[in-house]
Amino acid sequence: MKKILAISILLFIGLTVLAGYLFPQELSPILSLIIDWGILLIGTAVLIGIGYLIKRHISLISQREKQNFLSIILLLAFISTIILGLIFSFNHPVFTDLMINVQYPVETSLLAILAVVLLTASFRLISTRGWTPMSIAFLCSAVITLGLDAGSIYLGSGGAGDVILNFLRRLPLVGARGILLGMGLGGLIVGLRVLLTIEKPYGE
Amino acid sequence: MTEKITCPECGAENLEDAEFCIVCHAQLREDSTLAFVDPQQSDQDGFDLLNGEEDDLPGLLHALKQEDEAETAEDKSQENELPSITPEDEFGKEDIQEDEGIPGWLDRVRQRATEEEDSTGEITQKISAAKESLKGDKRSTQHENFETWIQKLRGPIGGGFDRDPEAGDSSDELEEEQEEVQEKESEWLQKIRKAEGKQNVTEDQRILDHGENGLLNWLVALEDGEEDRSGEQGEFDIKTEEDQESDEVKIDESAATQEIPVDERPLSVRIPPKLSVTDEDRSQADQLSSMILDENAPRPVRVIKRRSKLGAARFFFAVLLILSMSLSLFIGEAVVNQSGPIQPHTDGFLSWIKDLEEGAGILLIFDYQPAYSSEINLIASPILIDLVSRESDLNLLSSSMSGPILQRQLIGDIPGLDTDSITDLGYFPIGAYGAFGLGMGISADWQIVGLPESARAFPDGGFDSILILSDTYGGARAWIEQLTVLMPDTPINLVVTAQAMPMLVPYFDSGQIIGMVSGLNDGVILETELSTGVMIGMRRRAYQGGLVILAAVMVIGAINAGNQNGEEGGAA
Repeated sequence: MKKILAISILLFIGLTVLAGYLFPQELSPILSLIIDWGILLIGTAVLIGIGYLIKRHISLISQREKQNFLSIILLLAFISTIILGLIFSFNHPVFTDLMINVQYPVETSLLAILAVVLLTASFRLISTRGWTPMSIAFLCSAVITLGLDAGSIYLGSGGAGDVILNFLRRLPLVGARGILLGMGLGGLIVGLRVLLTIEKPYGE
Repeated sequence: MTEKITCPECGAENLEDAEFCIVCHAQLREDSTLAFVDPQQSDQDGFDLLNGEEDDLPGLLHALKQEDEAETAEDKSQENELPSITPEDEFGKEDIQEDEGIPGWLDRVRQRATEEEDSTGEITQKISAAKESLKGDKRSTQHENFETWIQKLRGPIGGGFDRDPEAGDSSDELEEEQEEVQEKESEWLQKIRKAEGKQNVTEDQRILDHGENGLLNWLVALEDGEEDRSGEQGEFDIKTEEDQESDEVKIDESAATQEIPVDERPLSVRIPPKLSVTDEDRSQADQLSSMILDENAPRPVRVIKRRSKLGAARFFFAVLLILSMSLSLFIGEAVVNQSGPIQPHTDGFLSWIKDLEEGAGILLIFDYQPAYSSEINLIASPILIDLVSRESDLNLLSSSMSGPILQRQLIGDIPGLDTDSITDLGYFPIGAYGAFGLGMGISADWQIVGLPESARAFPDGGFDSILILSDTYGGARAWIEQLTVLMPDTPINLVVTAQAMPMLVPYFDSGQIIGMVSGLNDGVILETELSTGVMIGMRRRAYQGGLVILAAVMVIGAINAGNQNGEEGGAA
């Protein structure tokens, strides 16, 4: 019975949304309702995720493990953010400044660390594998891409150098196009499988 | 006068003691070396001692065994009636058919089949050998187990008493009493009664307890015996089935000309018991041995010799990177020209913004995270300044959680922007939902508490253009794919980070978007073309210096790492 109900809901919503592309005006009211439900469900899922995260860190703290200091910081930050958000609301300058002056530097620092980590990972790869064709290709592609992005490589316009540069610039796009084609075909097939109830992610 | 034997084949006369015909070499006598022992008979002989105790448990089991053997004999006779002839059945048939006067050639063929190994096929030989060994093992095992069991069962009862030599006649009397008891009641009957709790605790209880323990001891001894046997087997070389087969098939041709040493030891000692090893056992043994070998394998001790040098090099490059990037922000003039040619998607974006009419309705979609806000803001600022100068009608929509805050930050930096002319459409948790709702013209009847005041509904179209600000390929893709289908007449432009650009260029090539700017390089072009006065050039120079140093560090570090690997490989 549960399966039948889930399949029925899936088919109804899926086919209705699909039909909305063909008959947007006629199906506008019901599509609005579906979107509202979807957003509500997403909000609920986020709340459940936050609940599990908090529960996990509370259990880590209660176990008195060595690394529970970070869990304490996380819980304190979470509670303080909730309290400040409830007091000042989302639009208040204090809350906005808090977000901008805390979240921005933290995320930007993480990105900077990521760049350094990737750099050292490339060294480690070469030191582990040695000079193999793949490591040489990786190094060459990384250096050329960095040089192109920095605008340091310029071989003139209209000549063979321009052709080579254009070729090098288009080279990553070839791979990107292939990935996009694969993703598009994969999405289409997965959508059809779900609509035809061959794939049942909701029942697992 | 000596008697002569006439050859049954050629009729030639041969001497009395000749085994083969001198003319045709046919065998003149029956091979008497094959002496078969009837297993039933041997078993019967072994159990004759039990005949006197019909009412005993062993006697009962013996009777059951005899019944089983009788059934087996019947089955054998039925098998002999089948047309298929197996080597083991030939012996029985031979005796029968001799009496019937079979032709001599058939007799010879059968004799050769019994004498020569290669007269029958390989498969038939293997099957017959396996059957014979199986039968022999089964019979001997059954027989031994049965006898051992009976002896163990009897032993403790009969010999379990510690005879007191001083007791003299009293022990004899006791024996007599025991015999009387045994005559009256069989032991197995006493055991059954004891198990049911009906046995009285008398002096005979000791005998029965001992007997019961004997049965228990036999089971324990049987287990021990199996363990001992397995231990003995472990001492022999482990042979798999394949190895055994190969050993059987292998024929030493030189054995015919060499003297074969005769082992005087008994057969049971000479022939080790066969140990069958399954594939699973073999794989486990291999895994264990490999584990032991791996534990004992010598490992190179990692000596960190270059730690100090590497640390100094890292420190040097870090200082160089920071200094060059910092100084490039303040020293020199801003770079205002793009060194390379302008990309087509950048050119498309410039064409769009230059052709934009005044007062046009623009939808700005904020789909980026705070970490990328610096880059996006640098690129978007010249565009927004130009749009404000054209008195465009701006509509803001966010599909990232930090979007409302980020858009306020971006708009707050734009000089001369009247916030009253901005329409905030709110925040959609997922870009695809927002794009779908926007394209469908669906009204949003929900409101999140604390969010900025929104129109609570998508405007029913009417946008002259859509500008998506995104930091990732995925976020931009959701909007592009929905809006190009639902709003095909509305031009879409992108402002994205440099890392998202390569994956989004195909959308420009396919015509789904009309323009795209990404990274600081395009930001400099925008600044130059739009003349907005945002100092992107200085930051781009720092960015360029950082990239060059990064590339240099990568090359030097890779060469160093590669040489390290080469030295370690050479040392190893």
